[in-house]
Amino acid sequence: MKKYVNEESSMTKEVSLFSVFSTALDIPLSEINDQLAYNAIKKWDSISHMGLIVALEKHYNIMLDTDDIIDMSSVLKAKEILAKYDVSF
Amino acid sequence: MTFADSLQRYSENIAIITESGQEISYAGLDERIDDFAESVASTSTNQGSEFSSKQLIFLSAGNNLASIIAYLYCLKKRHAVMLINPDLFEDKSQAWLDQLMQCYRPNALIKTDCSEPAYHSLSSDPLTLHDDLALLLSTSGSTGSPKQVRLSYTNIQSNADSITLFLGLSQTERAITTLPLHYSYGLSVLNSHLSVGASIVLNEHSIVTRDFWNLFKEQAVTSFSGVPFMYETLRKIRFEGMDLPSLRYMTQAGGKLHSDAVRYFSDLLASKGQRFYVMYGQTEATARMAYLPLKDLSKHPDSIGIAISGGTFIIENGDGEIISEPDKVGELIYQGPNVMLGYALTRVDLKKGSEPSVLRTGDMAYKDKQGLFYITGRQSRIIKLFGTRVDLDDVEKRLAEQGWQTFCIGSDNKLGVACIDESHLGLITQFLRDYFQFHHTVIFVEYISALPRTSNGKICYLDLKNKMASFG
Repeated sequence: MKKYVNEESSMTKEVSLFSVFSTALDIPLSEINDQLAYNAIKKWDSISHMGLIVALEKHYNIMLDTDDIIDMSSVLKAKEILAKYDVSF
Repeated sequence: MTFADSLQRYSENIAIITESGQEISYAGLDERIDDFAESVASTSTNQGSEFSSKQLIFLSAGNNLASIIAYLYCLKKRHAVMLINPDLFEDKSQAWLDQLMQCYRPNALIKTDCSEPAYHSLSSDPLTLHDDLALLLSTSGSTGSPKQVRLSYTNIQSNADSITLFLGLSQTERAITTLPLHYSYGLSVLNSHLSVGASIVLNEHSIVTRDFWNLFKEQAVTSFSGVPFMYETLRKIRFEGMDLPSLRYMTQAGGKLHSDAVRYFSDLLASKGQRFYVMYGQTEATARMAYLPLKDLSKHPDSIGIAISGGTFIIENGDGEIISEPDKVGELIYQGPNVMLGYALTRVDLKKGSEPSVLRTGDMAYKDKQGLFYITGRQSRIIKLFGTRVDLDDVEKRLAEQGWQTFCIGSDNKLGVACIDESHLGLITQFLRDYFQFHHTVIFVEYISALPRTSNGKICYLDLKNKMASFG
């Protein structure tokens, strides 16, 4: 596991995460927040979910396991899961 | 006659396990169907002699108990039922639903948002329906065409029987719903299981959720059915690491799964004493036409296998002659008791019975020396986006209705739209996402300066495909 170099501020790192979500789910950046949840919005369906996983893995240079993928049901959960990979917000 | 007439014979077997974990026996299910029938018969518009005649009923079909009760009620009472995607009942899809209503003017609509099906009388116009007409399923999946496939009671039962035979289904099976009920593949899982007294776990969770896998394990589900992108998803979520001791077999249909994925699943399942079935079919053949026998899976992962029991494949050349030699490509033709009665575009078509029982699949194929069939390409202008059939000509028509002239091409999981007016690209993209609900990752709208034409002036779609940046 590559340690994510923590040089940027928390704010920028959050925006960085939100951008990944924005692109993968095809939703404007302004609509991404911690509460955004899988299936609560039409655009976060199973197809987008897999696109999101691939994008997160690429962005943070990590490999998510089965539990991570199926537990990532909200943006907040994503932050918790990424913390395991030394990605903090 | 279908299994819906004799659910009682499995009496205490569990038929359905609902979303909340409630177990409903075959006897219990049959009772609920009869109760529903009574409540329908007693609605004031149904009193009187008109009601005993066959009705056309629209059913909002989801993977829930209300939908299953309503579907079985229609089969048992010999009403022709059209299974409709519940999403079509949402506000923004109103135009499609209106179009369907206008084309067919059904006698009733059954909604299934609640725990009990809700019957709503609509038109009492006499409607002539053929006695054999049991079921209407959409072919378009998403392009808003009113075209339906007309299926009979024989179609439904014969296909259920053939499927239970090659899968080796018994009453000890317990399936889980992973596909829509209004989709021929999803429906075939229900039909085949109810035909042998087996159980179905009702589920609306996606396979990328923990809820799905918890349910799978808790209910000791014995099988999994999916279209190619679902199998690709399973690989991505590292299916090889999942422990599913109750799983006996998996089935795949709804398009071609890449050979390396076929090998991955067949090897993985074989290592655990589990089975993997690659299958081929079309709504026009009720669901299933062929399956790849287990013994041929590892050596021939590209094959669609052999025809199901009761069915026959023929390969025809361009002149309509039968090709009997192996390894020669022609159009794949299928014959069997599961071939549809025909298509329907309006209510007038519903009085027709069986048209010739030979199905031109629209796929090009060859047979090898061993007798296994292989698909080499698709003749028609149809692609599959995540298992849903998309007719490229239909897409062009809908876009033209909006005032945009386009030329559509595609391959499985990729739709390309070429337009000679650059200013339309954004609007077209939005329309494709909103109206058709195509996933944004598979839509490619491009500007093209000139359209390649054939010598007789027609658009050459093959050249167009090569010219487009996202395809060429």
